[in-house]
Amino acid sequence: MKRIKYLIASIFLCLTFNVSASENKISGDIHVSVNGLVCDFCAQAISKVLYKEDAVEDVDVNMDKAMITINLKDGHDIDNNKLTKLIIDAGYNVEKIHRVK
Amino acid sequence: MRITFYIIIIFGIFINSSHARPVSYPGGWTVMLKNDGHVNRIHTHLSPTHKYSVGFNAEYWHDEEFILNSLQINNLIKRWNKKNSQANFYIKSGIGLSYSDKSKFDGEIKLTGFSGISFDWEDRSYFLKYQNRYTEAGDIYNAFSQSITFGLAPYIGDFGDLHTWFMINIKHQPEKDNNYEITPFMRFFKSVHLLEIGLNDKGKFLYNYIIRF
Repeated sequence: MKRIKYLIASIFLCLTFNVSASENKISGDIHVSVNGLVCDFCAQAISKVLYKEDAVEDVDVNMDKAMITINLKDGHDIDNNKLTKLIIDAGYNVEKIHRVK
Repeated sequence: MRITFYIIIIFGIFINSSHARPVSYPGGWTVMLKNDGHVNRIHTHLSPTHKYSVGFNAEYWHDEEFILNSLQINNLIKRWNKKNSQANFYIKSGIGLSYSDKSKFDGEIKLTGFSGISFDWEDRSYFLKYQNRYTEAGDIYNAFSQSITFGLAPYIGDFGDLHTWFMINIKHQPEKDNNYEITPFMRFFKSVHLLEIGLNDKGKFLYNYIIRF
């Protein structure tokens, strides 16, 4: 019984570590608020789709804030229409696009 | 009657596909390995656009002793994206050939079709899914099955974390004598990998693996 308790405690410790490991990683040039961002496995499509773009340097997905943060390469840009299409292709709806620069 | 069923499937594959959305993103591949003690299945599909996916499906049914190889198309008919939830409605259809080893069907090959709907809803803590399928393989096998799945996440992870779900699936197969099957299972996913492990009330193991790339 003790072993089972230790095992359960260890699993939850690992899970807690995993949860706390996810903080926002990049400052970002573009912040996109999206709807439907609830499943990490499905949301992998977002980074797959965005990283195909030459202009994209880095992508961060924050599921707590339902926000995608994008860093652009120097001298590159993506217009809002194209960005909206890419997000729809990935399976989500764009709520708002905010540009920092 | 059988001809009508195949016409419906072909209609579903080639007409609906132009009006629906896929499971994955344009250019994305998915490989699914599924085993529930009764059926071993591999399903690989590609999403040419964001509206549908097309792939190859192979199944081996233990009790019925038949193998099905088919072309499968999944159409996302409707997706509801909300601030804190998402829901999807799919039609899944396939057409191919079945081969049976079982007694009187020994070596017989039949044109086979299947079609069904799938509806799921989830937020970051709860998951609900209903799906059904009717399979028509001539005199080898004809059956309807449906299932409902509930899920509960013990914690909420963010993007890139290991995600864990406690789940239970209730399957109903009206043609079978013992026609309900209950399978509690665990779902884990991280990045592009998803693993499910469970044990049903008949003592059969469930083990599924999905990868997207």
